[in-house]
Amino acid sequence: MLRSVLRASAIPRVQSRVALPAIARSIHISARVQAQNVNDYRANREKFPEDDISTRYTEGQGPSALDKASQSLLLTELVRGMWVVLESFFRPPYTLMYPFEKGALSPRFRGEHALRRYPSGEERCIACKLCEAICPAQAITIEAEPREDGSRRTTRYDIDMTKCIYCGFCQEACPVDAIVEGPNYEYATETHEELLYNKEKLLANGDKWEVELARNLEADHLYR
Amino acid sequence: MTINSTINSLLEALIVIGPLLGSIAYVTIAERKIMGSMQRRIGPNKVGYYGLLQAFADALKLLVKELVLPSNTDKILFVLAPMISLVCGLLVWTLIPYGKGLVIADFSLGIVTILAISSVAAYGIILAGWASNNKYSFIGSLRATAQLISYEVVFGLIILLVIFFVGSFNLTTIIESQKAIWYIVPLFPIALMFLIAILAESNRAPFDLPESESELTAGFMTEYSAFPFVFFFLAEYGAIVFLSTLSSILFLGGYLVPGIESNGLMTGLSLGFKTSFILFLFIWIRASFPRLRYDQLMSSIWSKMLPIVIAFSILIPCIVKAFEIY
Amino acid sequence: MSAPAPQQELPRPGGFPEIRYKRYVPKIGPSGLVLFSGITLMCTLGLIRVGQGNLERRELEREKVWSRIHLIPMLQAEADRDTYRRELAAKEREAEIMKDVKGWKAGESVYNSDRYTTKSYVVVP
Repeated sequence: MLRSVLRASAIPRVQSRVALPAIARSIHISARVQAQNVNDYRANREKFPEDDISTRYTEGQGPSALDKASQSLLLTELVRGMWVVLESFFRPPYTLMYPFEKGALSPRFRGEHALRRYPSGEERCIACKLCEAICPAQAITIEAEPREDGSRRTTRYDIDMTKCIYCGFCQEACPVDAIVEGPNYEYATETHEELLYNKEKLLANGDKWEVELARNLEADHLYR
Repeated sequence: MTINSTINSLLEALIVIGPLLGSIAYVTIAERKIMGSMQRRIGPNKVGYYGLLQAFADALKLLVKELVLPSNTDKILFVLAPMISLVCGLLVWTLIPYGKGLVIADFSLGIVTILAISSVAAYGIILAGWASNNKYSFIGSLRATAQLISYEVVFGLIILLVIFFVGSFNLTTIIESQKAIWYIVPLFPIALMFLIAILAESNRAPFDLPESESELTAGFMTEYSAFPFVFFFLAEYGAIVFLSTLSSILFLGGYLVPGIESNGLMTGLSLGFKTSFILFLFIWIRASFPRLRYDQLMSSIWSKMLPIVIAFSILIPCIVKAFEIY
Repeated sequence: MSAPAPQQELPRPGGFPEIRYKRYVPKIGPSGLVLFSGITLMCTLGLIRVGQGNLERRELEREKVWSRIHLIPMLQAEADRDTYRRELAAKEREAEIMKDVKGWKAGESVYNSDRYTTKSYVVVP
């Protein structure tokens, strides 16, 4: 009984159109706003009937004035928000204990560079310098001259890892899959100089990571 | 004053300040761990078991840092400001009863003294912002001051409401008269507002506008480093712990244990538990809500909370007088 | 050879469903009526309890005050008796100490008046 009296739509509409006293006018306005809320509510219910979990509101009724007052005065919505936070407080954390556990890496992960070899042990790089040309950070320096057997090979292949932006253009450009970016990301050093990689370092990387590199390339070859 | 009484006073001060500093250290750890858990992280877990020594490592790091005095600062005020903050932050602890009679200064106007001292603490912030000669510091200190002044009104009125029930400004009396019932029960809406007011008083999220990282780098603490920064840090967290203690005294019956006539260790533990609960609320709220906008902050105090509190401060004395239960 | 009809990406047949931007939080928890009446009830009961407690406190205070009021004559009498005894003892000691001084009257008032004056010193045992 009391609830129905307090319900928003039960507030009598003020009929008179003449200038009203301030209080009556404000009641008039708030009644209109409430009616608008109820209309919105009804419209929403018709449009999305599956939404209607709110069994507490009887047919066609919005929240009552008391409900709204409790929402704003007793901060019920804030308490609901805090409850959500408290729920996650009691759930286990997602943290990966990094040095001891590591996350999964995509085959396309672009980490430390490596120069690969053919199974015969011959280095793949043919000194076409496409990687040097495409490198947006100009981190790659290549010098080349023909070998005694006439094949073109690099005499110098330097990557300044402190310039590199790890865009992966070098491995995209490489026609023979020689320069690749491997899955290794733990190569922090104490000095700048250690990050100026030369050909020996890159080839050693290739030897060290060949299994992973080959597997990643194979996993991804369909998309290249 | 004899040498003995000097040593006595020193010991009393140390007995309060030592555990207080420890509690501040562990509040910082608790904050980081609890916020971590609420965000499904772990929080500090490397220094000591479960990261329990993290705060001491941080303090050590801060203390061995270089003390930077920027060239255009007012040097005296710049160094004085954190001292004012810390001294005021520590001074209020003399008035807190940890048990019946376990209080350093049992003033009959204890709670007024607390209000006075915490108002003086605002000078530390104002001076810090002024002396730093930095726009972030200045805006931060202005915001802090405006916020402090605004919320002090509600804060004071709410304390007054409790005083209507007790009839005394003495903190021990306030606690002892809650033997019948904790004041959070008859004053529940007021206690809610007091929680909001102390959040704003201690410049905590969601009212941390004075040091809002995204806008003001660190507010009035921007130019501070090493020792003065530690002072500010201690003062800030000391204020948080203090306000939690104060609200547990005003609304949760302070050191009383419900149903038991307790003394000694039990009273201290009881006060500690209640304070910890409110501190948990502080951290919980920080983890839950985003920062308010400045105009929302001001309108929420002047046009929402203050009218309600004034209404209550008319209603409650009327009830108290009408039923003659003062 | 006619050019193929330009392909333009269009919404699926029937169009996309309407985006619901309007706030629509399901209602859970007790209704406003329950909350407000609950809090009012709690506050009322609390106020009653506070009243009872304050009355009890007042009664205890009154009891303390009256017990002091009743005790004061006894305590005062005891203190007076003690003071008088001490005074006599002090006079005796004075007579003993000053017995060699001619014309010294032990316990003589320093004022030129017969009016009784309390001693300006305290004898601590």
